[in-house]
Amino acid sequence: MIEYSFLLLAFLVGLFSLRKLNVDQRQILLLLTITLLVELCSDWLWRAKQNNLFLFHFYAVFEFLLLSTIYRRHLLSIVSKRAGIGIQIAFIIFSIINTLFFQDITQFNSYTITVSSFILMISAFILCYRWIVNLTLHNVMRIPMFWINLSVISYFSGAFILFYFSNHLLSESEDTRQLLWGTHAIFNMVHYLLYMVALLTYQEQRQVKKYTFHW
Amino acid sequence: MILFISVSAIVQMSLLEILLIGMVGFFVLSIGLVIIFTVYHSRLRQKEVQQHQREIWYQKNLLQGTLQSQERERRRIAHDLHDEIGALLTSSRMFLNAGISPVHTPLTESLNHILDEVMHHVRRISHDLRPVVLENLGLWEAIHAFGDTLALYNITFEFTCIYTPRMSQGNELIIYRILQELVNNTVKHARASRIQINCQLDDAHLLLIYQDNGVGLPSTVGKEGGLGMKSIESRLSLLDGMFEIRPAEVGVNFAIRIAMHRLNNDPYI
Repeated sequence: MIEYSFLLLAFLVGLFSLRKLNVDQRQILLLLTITLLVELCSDWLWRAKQNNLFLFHFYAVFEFLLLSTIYRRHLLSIVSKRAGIGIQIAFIIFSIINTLFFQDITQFNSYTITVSSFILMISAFILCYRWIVNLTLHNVMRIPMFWINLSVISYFSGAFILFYFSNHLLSESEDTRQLLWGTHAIFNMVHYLLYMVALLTYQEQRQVKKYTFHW
Repeated sequence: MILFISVSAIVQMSLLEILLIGMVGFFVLSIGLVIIFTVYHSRLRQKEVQQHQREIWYQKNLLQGTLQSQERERRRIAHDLHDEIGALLTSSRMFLNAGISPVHTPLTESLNHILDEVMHHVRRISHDLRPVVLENLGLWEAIHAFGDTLALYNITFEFTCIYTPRMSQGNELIIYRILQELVNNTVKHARASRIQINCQLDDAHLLLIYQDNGVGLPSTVGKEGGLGMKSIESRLSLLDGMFEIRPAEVGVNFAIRIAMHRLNNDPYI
Protein backbone atom coordinates (compact mmCIF):
# COMPACT_ATOMS: atom_id res chain seq x y z
CA MET A 1 0.00 0.00 0.00
CA ILE A 2 2.87 2.37 0.81
CA GLU A 3 4.36 2.02 -2.68
CA TYR A 4 0.93 2.74 -4.19
CA SER A 5 0.71 5.91 -2.16
CA PHE A 6 4.07 7.05 -3.64
CA LEU A 7 2.68 6.29 -7.09
CA LEU A 8 -0.53 8.18 -6.36
CA LEU A 9 1.42 11.12 -4.92
CA ALA A 10 3.64 11.33 -8.00
CA PHE A 11 0.57 11.15 -10.23
CA LEU A 12 -1.21 13.93 -8.33
CA VAL A 13 1.89 16.16 -8.36
CA GLY A 14 2.10 15.71 -12.12
CA LEU A 15 -1.59 16.41 -12.58
CA PHE A 16 -1.47 19.66 -10.60
CA SER A 17 1.64 20.85 -12.47
CA LEU A 18 0.31 19.81 -15.88
CA ARG A 19 0.61 23.25 -17.51
CA LYS A 20 4.26 23.69 -16.56
CA LEU A 21 5.39 20.25 -17.72
CA ASN A 22 7.63 19.76 -20.72
CA VAL A 23 7.35 16.86 -23.20
CA ASP A 24 9.41 14.42 -21.11
CA GLN A 25 7.45 15.18 -17.97
CA ARG A 26 4.11 14.79 -19.73
CA GLN A 27 5.15 11.37 -20.98
CA ILE A 28 6.16 10.37 -17.46
CA LEU A 29 2.79 11.58 -16.23
CA LEU A 30 1.12 9.40 -18.89
CA LEU A 31 3.23 6.47 -17.72
CA LEU A 32 2.20 7.07 -14.13
CA THR A 33 -1.44 7.28 -15.17
CA ILE A 34 -1.27 3.94 -16.96
CA THR A 35 0.72 2.42 -14.08
CA LEU A 36 -1.93 3.54 -11.64
CA LEU A 37 -4.71 2.04 -13.76
CA VAL A 38 -2.81 -1.23 -14.19
CA GLU A 39 -2.11 -1.41 -10.44
CA LEU A 40 -5.78 -0.81 -9.64
CA CYS A 41 -6.91 -3.47 -12.11
CA SER A 42 -4.25 -5.85 -10.87
CA ASP A 43 -5.30 -5.32 -7.28
CA TRP A 44 -8.98 -5.77 -8.14
CA LEU A 45 -8.28 -9.03 -9.97
CA TRP A 46 -6.11 -10.28 -7.10
CA ARG A 47 -8.89 -9.61 -4.63
CA ALA A 48 -11.28 -11.44 -6.96
CA LYS A 49 -8.76 -14.30 -6.92
CA GLN A 50 -8.28 -14.02 -10.70
CA ASN A 51 -5.00 -14.24 -12.59
CA ASN A 52 -3.74 -10.73 -13.16
CA LEU A 53 -0.43 -11.51 -14.85
CA PHE A 54 -1.79 -10.84 -18.36
CA LEU A 55 -1.86 -7.12 -17.48
CA PHE A 56 1.92 -7.02 -17.24
CA HIS A 57 2.30 -8.46 -20.74
CA PHE A 58 0.74 -5.23 -22.04
CA TYR A 59 2.15 -2.95 -19.37
CA ALA A 60 5.76 -4.04 -19.98
CA VAL A 61 5.48 -3.16 -23.68
CA PHE A 62 3.78 0.17 -22.97
CA GLU A 63 6.32 1.14 -20.32
CA PHE A 64 9.23 0.28 -22.62
CA LEU A 65 7.75 2.17 -25.57
CA LEU A 66 7.13 5.30 -23.52
CA LEU A 67 10.53 5.38 -21.82
CA SER A 68 12.40 4.41 -24.97
CA THR A 69 10.65 7.25 -26.83
CA ILE A 70 11.96 9.69 -24.23
CA TYR A 71 15.49 8.29 -24.56
CA ARG A 72 15.27 8.21 -28.31
CA ARG A 73 14.65 11.95 -28.29
CA HIS A 74 17.63 12.64 -26.04
CA LEU A 75 20.01 10.25 -27.76
CA LEU A 76 19.26 11.39 -31.31
CA SER A 77 22.90 12.33 -31.84
CA ILE A 78 24.02 8.78 -30.99
CA VAL A 79 21.13 6.60 -32.17
CA SER A 80 19.26 7.65 -35.28
CA LYS A 81 15.49 7.93 -35.23
CA ARG A 82 15.17 4.92 -37.54
CA ALA A 83 17.40 2.77 -35.35
CA GLY A 84 15.43 3.80 -32.26
CA ILE A 85 12.11 2.93 -33.89
CA GLY A 86 13.66 -0.31 -35.10
CA ILE A 87 14.60 -1.27 -31.54
CA GLN A 88 11.08 -0.50 -30.37
CA ILE A 89 9.52 -2.61 -33.13
CA ALA A 90 11.96 -5.44 -32.42
CA PHE A 91 10.98 -5.32 -28.77
CA ILE A 92 7.27 -5.50 -29.59
CA ILE A 93 7.88 -8.52 -31.83
CA PHE A 94 10.03 -10.17 -29.14
CA SER A 95 7.31 -9.54 -26.58
CA ILE A 96 4.65 -11.09 -28.82
CA ILE A 97 6.85 -14.13 -29.53
CA ASN A 98 7.57 -14.51 -25.82
CA THR A 99 3.86 -14.41 -24.99
CA LEU A 100 2.90 -16.84 -27.75
CA PHE A 101 5.69 -19.40 -27.37
CA PHE A 102 7.56 -19.07 -24.07
CA GLN A 103 5.66 -17.37 -21.29
CA ASP A 104 1.96 -17.35 -21.98
CA ILE A 105 -0.55 -14.78 -20.85
CA THR A 106 -1.11 -16.48 -17.51
CA GLN A 107 2.58 -16.41 -16.60
CA PHE A 108 4.77 -13.55 -15.44
CA ASN A 109 6.62 -12.24 -18.54
CA SER A 110 10.03 -12.14 -16.89
CA TYR A 111 12.01 -12.36 -20.15
CA THR A 112 10.26 -9.34 -21.67
CA ILE A 113 10.67 -7.24 -18.55
CA THR A 114 14.32 -8.27 -18.15
CA VAL A 115 15.15 -7.30 -21.74
CA SER A 116 13.21 -4.04 -21.33
CA SER A 117 15.08 -3.25 -18.09
CA PHE A 118 18.45 -4.00 -19.66
CA ILE A 119 17.85 -1.80 -22.73
CA LEU A 120 16.53 1.07 -20.61
CA MET A 121 19.47 0.87 -18.22
CA ILE A 122 21.96 0.96 -21.08
CA SER A 123 20.12 3.97 -22.55
CA ALA A 124 20.23 5.72 -19.19
CA PHE A 125 23.99 5.20 -18.79
CA ILE A 126 24.64 6.35 -22.35
CA LEU A 127 22.70 9.53 -21.63
CA CYS A 128 24.80 10.16 -18.50
CA TYR A 129 27.96 9.69 -20.56
CA ARG A 130 26.65 12.08 -23.21
CA TRP A 131 26.00 14.77 -20.61
CA ILE A 132 29.55 14.49 -19.33
CA VAL A 133 31.08 14.61 -22.80
CA ASN A 134 29.00 17.48 -24.13
CA LEU A 135 28.86 19.68 -21.00
CA THR A 136 25.99 21.65 -22.49
CA LEU A 137 23.97 21.60 -19.29
CA HIS A 138 24.50 24.35 -16.74
CA ASN A 139 22.97 22.73 -13.71
CA VAL A 140 22.09 19.14 -14.38
CA MET A 141 19.94 18.82 -11.27
CA ARG A 142 17.56 21.50 -12.56
CA ILE A 143 16.72 19.33 -15.57
CA PRO A 144 13.73 16.97 -15.29
CA MET A 145 15.46 14.38 -17.48
CA PHE A 146 18.22 14.00 -14.89
CA TRP A 147 15.69 12.79 -12.31
CA ILE A 148 13.88 10.59 -14.84
CA ASN A 149 17.23 9.07 -15.76
CA LEU A 150 18.16 8.54 -12.12
CA SER A 151 14.81 6.89 -11.51
CA VAL A 152 15.28 4.49 -14.42
CA ILE A 153 18.85 3.63 -13.43
CA SER A 154 18.10 3.06 -9.76
CA TYR A 155 14.93 1.03 -10.29
CA PHE A 156 15.83 -1.15 -13.24
CA SER A 157 19.38 -1.90 -12.07
CA GLY A 158 18.07 -3.45 -8.86
CA ALA A 159 14.92 -4.97 -10.24
CA PHE A 160 16.10 -6.60 -13.45
CA ILE A 161 17.87 -9.40 -11.55
CA LEU A 162 14.66 -10.11 -9.68
CA PHE A 163 12.64 -10.05 -12.90
CA TYR A 164 14.96 -12.59 -14.52
CA PHE A 165 14.74 -15.04 -11.62
CA SER A 166 11.11 -14.31 -10.72
CA ASN A 167 9.65 -17.46 -12.21
CA HIS A 168 12.33 -19.55 -10.50
CA LEU A 169 11.21 -18.09 -7.19
CA LEU A 170 7.89 -19.89 -7.42
CA SER A 171 9.59 -22.94 -5.91
CA GLU A 172 10.96 -20.89 -3.00
CA SER A 173 9.18 -20.34 0.27
CA GLU A 174 6.56 -17.66 0.82
CA ASP A 175 8.91 -15.75 3.16
CA THR A 176 11.67 -15.70 0.56
CA ARG A 177 9.35 -14.38 -2.14
CA GLN A 178 7.93 -11.76 0.21
CA LEU A 179 11.41 -10.58 1.18
CA LEU A 180 12.49 -10.24 -2.44
CA TRP A 181 9.33 -8.58 -3.67
CA GLY A 182 9.39 -6.40 -0.55
CA THR A 183 12.86 -5.23 -1.59
CA HIS A 184 11.44 -4.60 -5.03
CA ALA A 185 8.70 -2.50 -3.41
CA ILE A 186 11.39 -0.29 -1.84
CA PHE A 187 13.00 0.17 -5.25
CA ASN A 188 9.56 1.02 -6.60
CA MET A 189 9.03 3.68 -3.93
CA VAL A 190 12.38 5.27 -4.79
CA HIS A 191 11.37 4.99 -8.47
CA TYR A 192 8.11 6.92 -7.97
CA LEU A 193 9.74 9.39 -5.60
CA LEU A 194 12.30 10.30 -8.26
CA TYR A 195 9.54 10.60 -10.88
CA MET A 196 7.80 13.00 -8.51
CA VAL A 197 10.98 15.08 -8.20
CA ALA A 198 11.22 15.06 -12.02
CA LEU A 199 7.66 16.38 -12.24
CA LEU A 200 8.46 19.12 -9.72
CA THR A 201 11.57 20.26 -11.57
CA TYR A 202 11.03 23.08 -14.00
CA GLN A 203 13.69 24.20 -16.40
CA GLU A 204 14.36 27.95 -16.36
CA GLN A 205 13.15 29.62 -19.49
CA ARG A 206 15.89 31.96 -20.55
CA GLN A 207 14.36 34.94 -22.29
CA VAL A 208 16.77 36.70 -24.54
CA LYS A 209 15.76 40.26 -25.17
CA LYS A 210 16.18 41.12 -28.78
CA TYR A 211 18.73 43.82 -29.47
CA THR A 212 19.91 44.08 -25.89
CA PHE A 213 23.61 43.93 -25.15
CA HIS A 214 24.27 43.03 -21.55
CA TRP A 215 27.45 41.98 -19.84
CA MET B 1 42.79 -17.98 -4.17
CA ILE B 2 40.41 -15.15 -3.25
CA LEU B 3 38.47 -15.77 -6.44
CA PHE B 4 38.17 -19.49 -5.63
CA ILE B 5 36.90 -18.70 -2.13
CA SER B 6 34.41 -16.20 -3.56
CA VAL B 7 33.08 -18.66 -6.12
CA SER B 8 32.69 -21.43 -3.60
CA ALA B 9 31.05 -18.98 -1.17
CA ILE B 10 28.58 -17.97 -3.87
CA VAL B 11 27.76 -21.60 -4.69
CA GLN B 12 26.94 -22.28 -1.07
CA MET B 13 24.67 -19.25 -0.80
CA SER B 14 20.96 -19.67 -1.33
CA LEU B 15 19.13 -18.15 -4.25
CA LEU B 16 17.61 -15.66 -1.84
CA GLU B 17 20.96 -14.38 -0.65
CA ILE B 18 22.35 -14.17 -4.17
CA LEU B 19 19.34 -12.28 -5.39
CA LEU B 20 19.27 -9.91 -2.43
CA ILE B 21 22.97 -9.11 -2.68
CA GLY B 22 22.66 -8.71 -6.45
CA MET B 23 19.61 -6.47 -6.28
CA VAL B 24 20.85 -4.26 -3.49
CA GLY B 25 24.38 -4.25 -4.88
CA PHE B 26 23.29 -3.12 -8.33
CA PHE B 27 20.94 -0.54 -6.81
CA VAL B 28 23.64 0.97 -4.63
CA LEU B 29 26.20 0.79 -7.43
CA SER B 30 23.95 2.57 -9.88
CA ILE B 31 23.03 5.31 -7.39
CA GLY B 32 26.73 5.66 -6.58
CA LEU B 33 27.61 5.98 -10.27
CA VAL B 34 25.01 8.68 -10.78
CA ILE B 35 26.31 10.60 -7.74
CA ILE B 36 29.87 10.36 -9.04
CA PHE B 37 28.66 11.52 -12.44
CA THR B 38 26.82 14.50 -10.95
CA VAL B 39 29.83 15.60 -8.90
CA TYR B 40 32.20 15.11 -11.87
CA HIS B 41 29.86 16.99 -14.19
CA SER B 42 29.54 19.90 -11.78
CA ARG B 43 33.34 20.14 -11.41
CA LEU B 44 33.86 20.01 -15.15
CA ARG B 45 31.22 22.66 -15.60
CA GLN B 46 32.86 24.85 -12.93
CA LYS B 47 36.19 24.57 -14.71
CA GLU B 48 34.56 25.48 -17.98
CA VAL B 49 32.89 28.52 -16.42
CA GLN B 50 36.22 29.61 -14.89
CA GLN B 51 37.95 29.19 -18.23
CA HIS B 52 35.21 31.20 -19.92
CA GLN B 53 35.53 33.95 -17.30
CA ARG B 54 39.31 34.04 -17.84
CA GLU B 55 38.75 34.42 -21.57
CA ILE B 56 36.27 37.23 -21.02
CA TRP B 57 38.73 38.95 -18.65
CA TYR B 58 41.50 38.61 -21.20
CA GLN B 59 39.33 39.97 -23.99
CA LYS B 60 38.25 42.87 -21.81
CA ASN B 61 41.87 43.67 -21.04
CA LEU B 62 42.67 43.55 -24.73
CA LEU B 63 39.75 45.84 -25.48
CA GLN B 64 40.77 48.26 -22.74
CA GLY B 65 44.28 48.37 -24.12
CA THR B 66 43.03 48.98 -27.64
CA LEU B 67 40.70 51.78 -26.56
CA GLN B 68 43.42 53.39 -24.44
CA SER B 69 45.78 53.36 -27.43
CA GLN B 70 43.03 54.75 -29.58
CA GLU B 71 42.41 57.64 -27.15
CA ARG B 72 46.16 58.36 -26.90
CA GLU B 73 46.41 58.50 -30.65
CA ARG B 74 43.37 60.74 -30.90
CA ARG B 75 44.88 63.12 -28.35
CA ARG B 76 48.12 63.22 -30.29
CA ILE B 77 46.37 63.88 -33.60
CA ALA B 78 44.12 66.52 -31.99
CA HIS B 79 47.18 68.20 -30.52
CA ASP B 80 48.98 68.17 -33.86
CA LEU B 81 45.91 69.45 -35.67
CA HIS B 82 45.23 72.25 -33.24
CA ASP B 83 48.71 73.37 -32.31
CA GLU B 84 50.54 72.77 -35.57
CA ILE B 85 48.14 72.82 -38.48
CA GLY B 86 45.81 75.27 -36.82
CA ALA B 87 48.74 77.58 -36.11
CA LEU B 88 49.98 77.29 -39.72
CA LEU B 89 46.54 78.14 -41.04
CA THR B 90 46.32 81.16 -38.74
CA SER B 91 49.74 82.30 -39.91
CA SER B 92 48.73 81.79 -43.57
CA ARG B 93 45.73 83.98 -43.06
CA MET B 94 47.76 86.68 -41.37
CA PHE B 95 50.24 86.73 -44.27
CA LEU B 96 47.42 86.75 -46.78
CA ASN B 97 45.79 89.78 -45.13
CA ALA B 98 49.13 91.57 -44.60
CA GLY B 99 49.38 90.85 -48.22
CA ILE B 100 50.96 91.01 -51.46
CA SER B 101 47.70 92.15 -53.06
CA PRO B 102 44.97 94.59 -52.00
CA VAL B 103 43.01 93.24 -49.03
CA HIS B 104 39.44 93.06 -50.32
CA THR B 105 39.74 91.56 -53.80
CA PRO B 106 37.40 88.71 -54.65
CA LEU B 107 40.37 86.36 -54.70
CA THR B 108 41.55 87.30 -51.20
CA GLU B 109 38.00 87.20 -49.89
CA SER B 110 37.55 83.66 -51.32
CA LEU B 111 40.89 82.61 -49.87
CA ASN B 112 39.93 84.05 -46.48
CA HIS B 113 36.62 82.29 -46.63
CA ILE B 114 38.29 78.97 -47.51
CA LEU B 115 40.85 79.42 -44.76
CA ASP B 116 38.07 80.19 -42.28
CA GLU B 117 36.28 77.02 -43.27
CA VAL B 118 39.44 74.94 -43.07
CA MET B 119 40.27 76.35 -39.64
CA HIS B 120 36.70 75.72 -38.49
CA HIS B 121 36.84 72.08 -39.63
CA VAL B 122 40.30 71.59 -38.14
CA ARG B 123 39.04 72.98 -34.85
CA ARG B 124 35.94 70.78 -35.00
CA ILE B 125 37.92 67.65 -35.83
CA SER B 126 40.40 68.47 -33.11
CA HIS B 127 37.63 68.93 -30.55
CA ASP B 128 35.93 65.74 -31.64
CA LEU B 129 39.17 63.84 -31.23
CA ARG B 130 40.02 65.43 -27.93
CA PRO B 131 36.99 66.90 -26.18
CA VAL B 132 38.47 69.76 -24.19
CA VAL B 133 35.15 70.57 -22.51
CA LEU B 134 35.05 67.00 -21.18
CA GLU B 135 38.57 67.26 -19.82
CA ASN B 136 38.12 70.66 -18.25
CA LEU B 137 34.47 70.79 -17.15
CA GLY B 138 33.31 67.18 -16.98
CA LEU B 139 30.81 64.90 -18.71
CA TRP B 140 27.59 66.80 -18.10
CA GLU B 141 28.96 70.07 -19.48
CA ALA B 142 30.41 68.18 -22.45
CA ILE B 143 26.96 66.73 -23.20
CA HIS B 144 25.47 70.25 -23.00
CA ALA B 145 28.12 71.30 -25.52
CA PHE B 146 26.62 68.90 -28.09
CA GLY B 147 23.92 71.53 -28.49
CA ASP B 148 26.38 74.05 -29.96
CA THR B 149 27.56 71.57 -32.59
CA LEU B 150 24.03 70.37 -33.41
CA ALA B 151 22.83 73.94 -33.89
CA LEU B 152 25.08 74.09 -36.99
CA TYR B 153 22.99 71.27 -38.43
CA ASN B 154 19.68 72.89 -37.40
CA ILE B 155 19.03 70.15 -34.87
CA THR B 156 17.42 71.12 -31.58
CA PHE B 157 19.15 69.56 -28.60
CA GLU B 158 17.57 69.01 -25.20
CA PHE B 159 19.50 67.61 -22.28
CA THR B 160 17.70 67.06 -18.98
CA CYS B 161 19.62 65.69 -16.08
CA ILE B 162 18.07 64.95 -12.70
CA TYR B 163 21.10 63.10 -11.46
CA THR B 164 24.72 63.98 -12.22
CA PRO B 165 26.97 61.52 -10.45
CA ARG B 166 30.68 62.07 -10.27
CA MET B 167 32.84 59.45 -11.90
CA SER B 168 36.37 58.88 -13.08
CA GLN B 169 37.65 60.57 -16.22
CA GLY B 170 37.96 57.22 -17.94
CA ASN B 171 34.29 56.40 -17.36
CA GLU B 172 33.23 59.89 -18.41
CA LEU B 173 35.14 59.48 -21.65
CA ILE B 174 33.46 56.14 -22.37
CA ILE B 175 29.96 57.56 -21.85
CA TYR B 176 30.87 60.65 -23.84
CA ARG B 177 32.12 58.57 -26.78
CA ILE B 178 28.94 56.46 -26.73
CA LEU B 179 26.71 59.54 -26.83
CA GLN B 180 29.00 61.11 -29.43
CA GLU B 181 28.55 58.03 -31.62
CA LEU B 182 24.77 58.19 -31.25
CA VAL B 183 24.73 61.92 -32.07
CA ASN B 184 26.96 61.34 -35.12
CA ASN B 185 24.63 58.60 -36.34
CA THR B 186 21.63 60.88 -35.98
CA VAL B 187 23.36 63.73 -37.81
CA LYS B 188 24.61 61.51 -40.65
CA HIS B 189 21.67 59.18 -41.22
CA ALA B 190 18.53 60.06 -39.31
CA ARG B 191 17.45 63.37 -40.90
CA ALA B 192 16.18 64.37 -37.47
CA SER B 193 15.34 67.84 -36.25
CA ARG B 194 15.49 67.08 -32.54
CA ILE B 195 17.66 65.08 -30.16
CA GLN B 196 16.82 64.50 -26.51
CA ILE B 197 19.08 63.06 -23.87
CA ASN B 198 17.75 62.37 -20.43
CA CYS B 199 19.79 61.26 -17.45
CA GLN B 200 18.39 59.87 -14.22
CA LEU B 201 19.03 57.46 -11.39
CA ASP B 202 17.05 54.24 -11.63
CA ASP B 203 17.40 51.54 -9.00
CA ALA B 204 21.10 52.13 -8.30
CA HIS B 205 21.79 52.45 -12.02
CA LEU B 206 22.60 55.46 -14.12
CA LEU B 207 19.96 55.56 -16.85
CA LEU B 208 20.64 57.56 -20.00
CA ILE B 209 17.84 57.80 -22.54
CA TYR B 210 18.65 58.96 -26.04
CA GLN B 211 15.85 59.88 -28.46
CA ASP B 212 15.57 61.53 -31.82
CA ASN B 213 12.71 62.16 -34.25
CA GLY B 214 14.47 60.88 -37.34
CA VAL B 215 13.83 58.00 -39.73
CA GLY B 216 14.59 55.30 -37.16
CA LEU B 217 16.91 52.33 -37.35
CA PRO B 218 17.48 50.29 -40.51
CA SER B 219 16.17 46.71 -40.29
CA THR B 220 19.62 45.12 -40.29
CA VAL B 221 20.88 46.85 -37.16
CA GLY B 222 19.44 44.38 -34.69
CA LYS B 223 21.03 41.32 -36.26
CA GLU B 224 24.65 42.29 -36.67
CA GLY B 225 24.82 45.99 -36.05
CA GLY B 226 26.88 48.51 -37.91
CA LEU B 227 30.39 49.51 -36.88
CA GLY B 228 28.91 52.30 -34.76
CA MET B 229 26.79 49.87 -32.75
CA LYS B 230 29.78 47.58 -32.33
CA SER B 231 31.81 50.49 -31.03
CA ILE B 232 29.07 51.30 -28.52
CA GLU B 233 28.88 47.64 -27.55
CA SER B 234 32.63 47.44 -26.99
CA ARG B 235 32.79 50.56 -24.85
CA LEU B 236 29.75 49.61 -22.81
CA SER B 237 31.22 46.19 -22.09
CA LEU B 238 34.00 47.90 -20.13
CA LEU B 239 31.37 49.26 -17.76
CA ASP B 240 29.26 46.06 -17.71
CA GLY B 241 26.42 48.23 -18.95
CA MET B 242 23.23 47.47 -20.80
CA PHE B 243 22.13 48.99 -24.09
CA GLU B 244 18.49 48.61 -25.01
CA ILE B 245 16.76 49.57 -28.22
CA ARG B 246 13.29 50.55 -27.12
CA PRO B 247 10.25 50.77 -29.38
CA ALA B 248 9.58 54.28 -30.64
CA GLU B 249 6.77 55.65 -32.74
CA VAL B 250 9.12 58.09 -34.42
CA GLY B 251 12.88 57.95 -34.67
CA VAL B 252 14.89 56.01 -32.11
CA ASN B 253 14.78 55.47 -28.39
CA PHE B 254 17.86 54.00 -26.73
CA ALA B 255 18.38 53.30 -23.07
CA ILE B 256 21.80 52.88 -21.49
CA ARG B 257 21.95 51.48 -17.97
CA ILE B 258 25.14 51.31 -15.95
CA ALA B 259 25.38 50.19 -12.37
CA MET B 260 26.55 53.01 -10.12
CA HIS B 261 29.16 50.87 -8.42
CA ARG B 262 30.81 50.27 -11.79
CA LEU B 263 30.99 53.99 -12.48
CA ASN B 264 32.91 54.50 -9.27
CA ASN B 265 35.66 52.20 -10.54
CA ASP B 266 38.20 53.06 -13.18
CA PRO B 267 37.30 51.20 -16.41
CA TYR B 268 40.94 50.56 -17.14
CA ILE B 269 41.46 48.39 -14.06
